[in-house]
Formats: sequence, structure tokens, C-alpha cells
Amino acid sequence: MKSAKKLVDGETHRYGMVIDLDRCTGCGACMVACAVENNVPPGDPAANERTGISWLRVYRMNDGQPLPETRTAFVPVPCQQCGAKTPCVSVCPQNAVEIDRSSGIVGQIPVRCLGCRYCMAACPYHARSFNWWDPAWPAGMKESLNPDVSTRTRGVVEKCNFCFHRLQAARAKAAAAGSREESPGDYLPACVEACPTSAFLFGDLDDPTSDVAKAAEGKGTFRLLEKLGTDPKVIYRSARPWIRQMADGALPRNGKEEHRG
Amino acid sequence: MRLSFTRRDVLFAATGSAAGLVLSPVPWKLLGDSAIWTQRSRFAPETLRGDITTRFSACTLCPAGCALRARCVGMPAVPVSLTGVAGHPVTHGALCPTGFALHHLMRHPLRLTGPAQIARRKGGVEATSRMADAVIASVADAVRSARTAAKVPLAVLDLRPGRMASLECRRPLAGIPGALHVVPASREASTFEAMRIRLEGAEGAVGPLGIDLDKPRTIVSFGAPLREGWGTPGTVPVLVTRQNQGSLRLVQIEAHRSPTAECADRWLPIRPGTEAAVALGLAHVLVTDGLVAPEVARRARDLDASFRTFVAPFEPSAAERISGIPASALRSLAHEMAEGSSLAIGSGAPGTEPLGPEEESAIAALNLLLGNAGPNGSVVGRHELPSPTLEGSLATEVPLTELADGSVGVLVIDGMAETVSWTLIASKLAKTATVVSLSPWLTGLSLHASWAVPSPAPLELLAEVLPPAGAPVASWGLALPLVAPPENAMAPAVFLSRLATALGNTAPAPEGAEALLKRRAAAIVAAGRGKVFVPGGALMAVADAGGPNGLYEKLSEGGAWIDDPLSTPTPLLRFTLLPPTHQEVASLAAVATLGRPERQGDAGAFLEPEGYVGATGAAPEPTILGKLGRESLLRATGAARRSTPVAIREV
Repeated sequence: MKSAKKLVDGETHRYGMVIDLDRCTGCGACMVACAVENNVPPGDPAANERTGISWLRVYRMNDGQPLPETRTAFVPVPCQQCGAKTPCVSVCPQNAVEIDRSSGIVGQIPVRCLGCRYCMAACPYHARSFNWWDPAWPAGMKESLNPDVSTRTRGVVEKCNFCFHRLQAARAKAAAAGSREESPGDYLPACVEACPTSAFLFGDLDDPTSDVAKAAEGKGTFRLLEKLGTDPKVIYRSARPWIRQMADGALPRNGKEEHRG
Repeated sequence: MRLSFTRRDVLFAATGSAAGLVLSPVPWKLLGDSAIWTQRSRFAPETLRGDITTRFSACTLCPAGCALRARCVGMPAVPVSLTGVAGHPVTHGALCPTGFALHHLMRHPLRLTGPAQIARRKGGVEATSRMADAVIASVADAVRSARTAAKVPLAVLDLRPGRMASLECRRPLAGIPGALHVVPASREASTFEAMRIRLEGAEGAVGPLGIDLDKPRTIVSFGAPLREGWGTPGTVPVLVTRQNQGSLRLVQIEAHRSPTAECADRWLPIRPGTEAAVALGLAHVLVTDGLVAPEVARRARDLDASFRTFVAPFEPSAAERISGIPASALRSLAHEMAEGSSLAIGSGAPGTEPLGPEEESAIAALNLLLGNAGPNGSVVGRHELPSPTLEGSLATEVPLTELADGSVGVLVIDGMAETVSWTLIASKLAKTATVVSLSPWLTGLSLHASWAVPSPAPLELLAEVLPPAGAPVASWGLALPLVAPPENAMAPAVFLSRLATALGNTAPAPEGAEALLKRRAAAIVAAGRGKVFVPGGALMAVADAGGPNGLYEKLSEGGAWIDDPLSTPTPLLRFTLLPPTHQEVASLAAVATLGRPERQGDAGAFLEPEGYVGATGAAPEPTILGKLGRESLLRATGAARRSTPVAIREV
């Protein structure tokens, strides 16, 4: 894989993750943990795979071989946290998408969002969701909401922000301890923490001593639609060539692929 | 010089101002502010505020009993997010998707908050609230009536036996004439139970069996959802790691392309309900090609002409006709299994019947032929979990399958898991039987009840975590209550005690969960075996845990007790493959040779083994799990009905 883009002015960290697709079993624990952590409401009864809200979606794809020789892989796709030519940032008329310079995290600010959905059209990864309905939880379940994440309303776009509130909590903890830098172990997004097979590695991609930076430079790594030049900070890893090829859309599409979601 | 303003000047000024305004930040600011003003913020749900605390408990939705760490807010603390406990020796920090949303289930729309009368209506059931005393009086009347009308006036079906709470339920029952404590047929994974009952002459009693996941090089799974959390989600990371390293090959034999089949190294699709034929076809190859483990061939008593005669009809070609698996594939699989350490496993969970006893019997025979019960096999014995002796008399414990058909007058179902089919339960009920459910939710078996008295849900009561199915060593943990149960919820022991009193018997007051569990802790300390895990710390010997109270405290803080392995590694080589006296033998051949494919096509239904050993089926699905189905299509949705080979035979 090409070497990752280096820090831009003012950046102190460049958080990213490496997802090992050979370890992902498609259990969906990351999706549920993400939704619970970020107060994503249960889908409206009319919601489907296009209109539902998921900050992290696990796609199932196969190699197109006939059954029973078909090989399947599961690909968790959160916001890819583009580091260059960030499409959603450039199209937003409201400045509702901002890049945090201290972490490199692309954040969505719902209260600024006008709901025009230009960002959704621009995002090549389909990593954004629109609130088509008022968020609704069953009676009494609002008590179970995470107090660190504000709820959103109908008519705004939302997306993964690497659980930015956890970064803030880690910084607060570091500040309380008299440090200006958060400890790497104190900041993990919910999906990373939830994965039962440790398929996710997370950390500062520009810290050469971190596991995630080493993994990002390892064999078999790739990024989705790398040819677009968006420099995603979500990096995938697999020993299976057909998965790597499919990440760039190189495999012939026969209409039977299970790119559902 | 002209100093007067003309109309044209005014127009110029207005036009210029308008153009300048567009270029100024004002309209953009207005646009932004309007976006904020039009936010319907007052409708946005507000979250709880308060101090953040961390507490430990365990998910008791299914027998896996995964340890969890809860992030709680406010006082009284309310859990807002759950995660696994890193480094836990049994669960390895894993939770299934349902476990992450367990705290949502306390407030699920199907949650029962008080006693209710259940009436069946067209298209569903209707629950009408009733006073607890009224429900108990009605059930007591039903028991009195059943004394003359039924052989067993009162039976309590304990869906998760072996707990201290189970013992406490048997105390009040002991005073009620004719009352029985009924348990599912098995407490362990069905494959291992089928193996265990064939092992005899071992050195000492044969206890529960489990898998040493480090041993098998090939696992042949008959529909077992190994990559979906079979036994406990904690086994999945081990399997995935070994598969990726190339040290384990997973072969999935299943009709449906399940997630495990998708991730298997090889998926052999079969016609639904033909698992027995495949297993016997493999056994045929093992026997006729001389692939039986040498020590088994030497010591097994009945690997003789009778067994060879029994498997003779199941040549690979015959198995192919029945199951659809090519004969060549069966033959090569049998040789692969014989080449290295391999394990055959069915999808059976404790007490469930995803595969029938006939299928499990055939799978058990495969394991015995491969030497899996020997010292080098993948199946290992483990110690029983130490249990204290309770004073006083206890009601008789009877397996459900041993109850006579139509014999039960009043059935109380203690538990929420659908680990026993309603068809089996219904066959034991008298015509006018009354069914009482003690489930926290109006789902599953409680839909068949006349009365529902909700018990506290997981995270609402103090409970213990027993060893999960397939565990190679015993373990024990605590599930602490994090939230208060509904005011009218009632623990099963309390309900039975009050029922006994209403029937005119003197029932001892329930001892209470904490006192009972401390007695279990004392028994473990007295046994002197095992180690204690404490989150973030190293394993310590049980002797250093500070006695029973110290052990209990450590487990209250997210710890776990892990037993030592058996000192003698399963020297169990004397066994009976298929004892002629066993009832399964007669039906095995018939089951294996049933020609079902045509009938499947006629039925127009997709029938397959169902063996998910997770929370599915035990409780309503948290609404947030819609993210995995309807909102992403990651999991199959819709009305695809899953069934079991047992049900297929009934079709």
C-alpha cells in the first residue's frame, strides 16, 4: 500500500483504523455497539437498508463463484475519514462537516446541517445516513441513552466520527492527570472495543511505534476506492486477493454479488 | 455639481446594496441560523445526567453467561452501554450483538411488568393485568382440581437446571403432594451427552464433556453455528485465529448457507434432515477402509460384526442418494478426518433438540470411532461444578422426556429460553392443563401460557453463571443486578413458596440468592481446585482468594472462577457404540434412510437444523438489532421458517 499521507499543518495525531477482513465473521457486534454508543435510534418500521441509519455498516460480498464454492467476506464500512479531497467537506454549504486538526477526524455537526444531503451524494463510500424520521425509542428506553452523545433530529445527516466523544473524554482524563496528550489506550471507538475477534486495530497512524501504523504498512493492506485519491484513514487487510481486487471495483460484476446494504 | 438624489441614484444604491449583501457573510449567517432555528430540538430525546460509574455483571439471557462491564449513569445507576470484560478466561471479552443491547431489553415493549392472564386472540395473544394473589389463588385451584384429574398435579419445568436457584425452587415443591421438578433431557451439548452415555467402564464416573479447541485439526460440523458463538461467543476468536493460521479446517455440513457455512473452509450442502445418513456414511467409510483409530479398534467392545452390519447399507453412494453429498466427497472427508485429529459435532445446545437423538447418536459414534474420547482426543472430561448440600427435602427431579404423555395438570415454566420445543411440552399436558409462565417477556413459551407471573430479567437479579456448553473446564461467575426489577416481578422461588402456602403447605421462606451463592462459593473454596480471575489482574489460586467471602467479592467485581483440568485426561476408551438396548438404535436406521427430498419439495418450506446457542429465541430481540436485519440485510430477515430434523419428521 502507498505510504500514508503525513500530517498537515496543525495536526498532532492522525487517528485511523486497520480492519482485518480475514478475522471479521460478520456477527454485527460492531454495528450494534456503535448504535448503542452513539444513540442511533432503532429504525422506523418503514426504514430499510437504504433509509435506515447506520454509522457503521457490515457489507457481505462474495467472489462470484457458483455455490457451494462461493467464498464470502464481510466488510465493515464506517466513514473512511478521508484525509485528502474530502468530498463531504467540500460540498457542504453549511460548514456542517469539519476536520478536527488535532486528530484528523472528519466530524459531522448536526445542528449546522441543513439536510440538503449533498454530502451523501458526494461520499463515494455511502457512509452517511439521513434522518428521514424523528428518532423514536420505545417507552422508557431513553434512560438508556449515552449522555455523552447528543441525539439528532429528523432532517439532518449523521455519520461515524470515530466516537469523538471518547477522544474528548480521554483528553479530559489526560488533562486531569496533568498531561497534554491522551494515552493511546484511553481512546478506542466502540466498534473497536466490541469486536469479539479483534478484527479492528485503532490508533495514531503517524505514530510509527503504534500497532495500527505497523499493521497499516503490513502485507495485504489496501483501502477502498484508493484510485479516487481521498486518502482514507480506514485501511483494510486481507490475505485473499479477490477481496483486495474487489475493493477497487476490479472484479467483473455479474449481478449476483451480494453487495447488499 | 449635482447634490440632489434622483430615483436612478436610489435604484443604483439599492442594487449595489443588494449585491453587496450577497457577497457579505450576512445571508450565509442567516442561512446557518435558520438551519439551527428550524431544528426541532425540543423533540430530541434528552439523556440522563449524573455521575458515571462502572459496574460488572453477566448476561444470563443464554447459558453462555458472558461477563460484561456496564457503564452506568446517575444514582440509582442506569446502564447506558455494555462491553465484554477484557481478558476474561471463558468469554475472552466477547459479547454477541444481543449482549451489547441487553440493557434495552429491560424496557422492551414485550416486557411484562406484573402478573397477567393470557388469552389467545386471533392473530396473537392478549395479556390482562391481574393481582398476584388472584393469580396464585387461581393456580392453586387448578392444582387442587388436577389432583384427581391428572397423574402429576403440578410440575415445574426448569429450563436452566443446575443453578442454586433451581434447588431453592425444589424446596417448596417438596411439600406439595405429587409435585415434580422437571428438567430438559440434557444439560450439556447434545453431541457430548450422546457420547457420554456411551462411555462406560471408565475410571470413575464420566462427568460432563467439552472440547479442547486447541486439539482438532479438522472440525466437521453438522449445522453447529461455530462461527456464530456456539457454546459461548468466546470460542469464535479462537476458531478464527486457528483457521487463519491454517491449523484448523472447518467443514460445515448444513442445508442452509449459514454464516458459519459462509466462513467455513468447505461447505457441503445437504438435503434438510439427512444428517444421520451423512454421519453413517462417514462411519461406513471409516469402518470398511480401516480408518478407525487403532486404540479404539483394540479396545472397543462392540466394533464387531453387529456394528459393521449396521453401517453396511450406508455406502457413500447410498448416502449420496439420500443427502445429496457426492460419494467421492464423503469418502475423501472420511479419510481427511482419519488422517489427523478431527472432531464431529452436532448443533445441539444444552437441553435443545436441533438435531434429533438419532442424529446425535450417529455423530457420537463418529467421534468414538475417531478416538476422540481417548487421551489424545479433542473431547475432554471436566469436573462437575462444586455444589453445596442443602438441608431439608427437595422435590424429585425428573427429565421431561420421562413424563407420561397427557399426565401434567398444572405446568409452571421457569425460564425464558426456548430450549425445549412446545410440541414436546404440549404432549405431556393433560387436556385441561393450566400453564403458568415465569418469563420476564411475553414471548416464546409464555405465549402458550394461561397465566404469566414475570420474574426479574437479566441485569435485574442476582444470578450465577454456570459453565457454558462445550467448555473443557468448569467455571463459575456472578451476574449482579444493575437495575431494580418491576415492582410486581416475582422470583420463581418466591412464586412457588407462595403457591405452596396457598395450597395449605408450610413452605420454608426462600433463603435468598446471595446466601445460596455464598454457599456455592464455600463449596468451591472447600474443593480447593481452580484459579480466580480478576479484571486487570493475574490469575490467583482459589486458596488465595480470601475464603468464601473473598471469592464472592472478587466475583462480584467482574471476576470468574476457573476449574483445573482433570488430572487424568479422559482415559475413556471402553464404550458402546450403539447399544442394542438403546431406543435410538431402532429409529436411527429408519431416520437415516427416510426419503425426504420429494417431501421437502412438496412442502414448499425451507426446513433446516437450527442450533444457534446464543440469545436468539430466549428473549425478544432488542429493537436496535434491526440494524443487522432490515436496515442492512446483514442477517436474513423475513418469514423464512427454521425447523429441526425432529420437526421435519413430523411434517
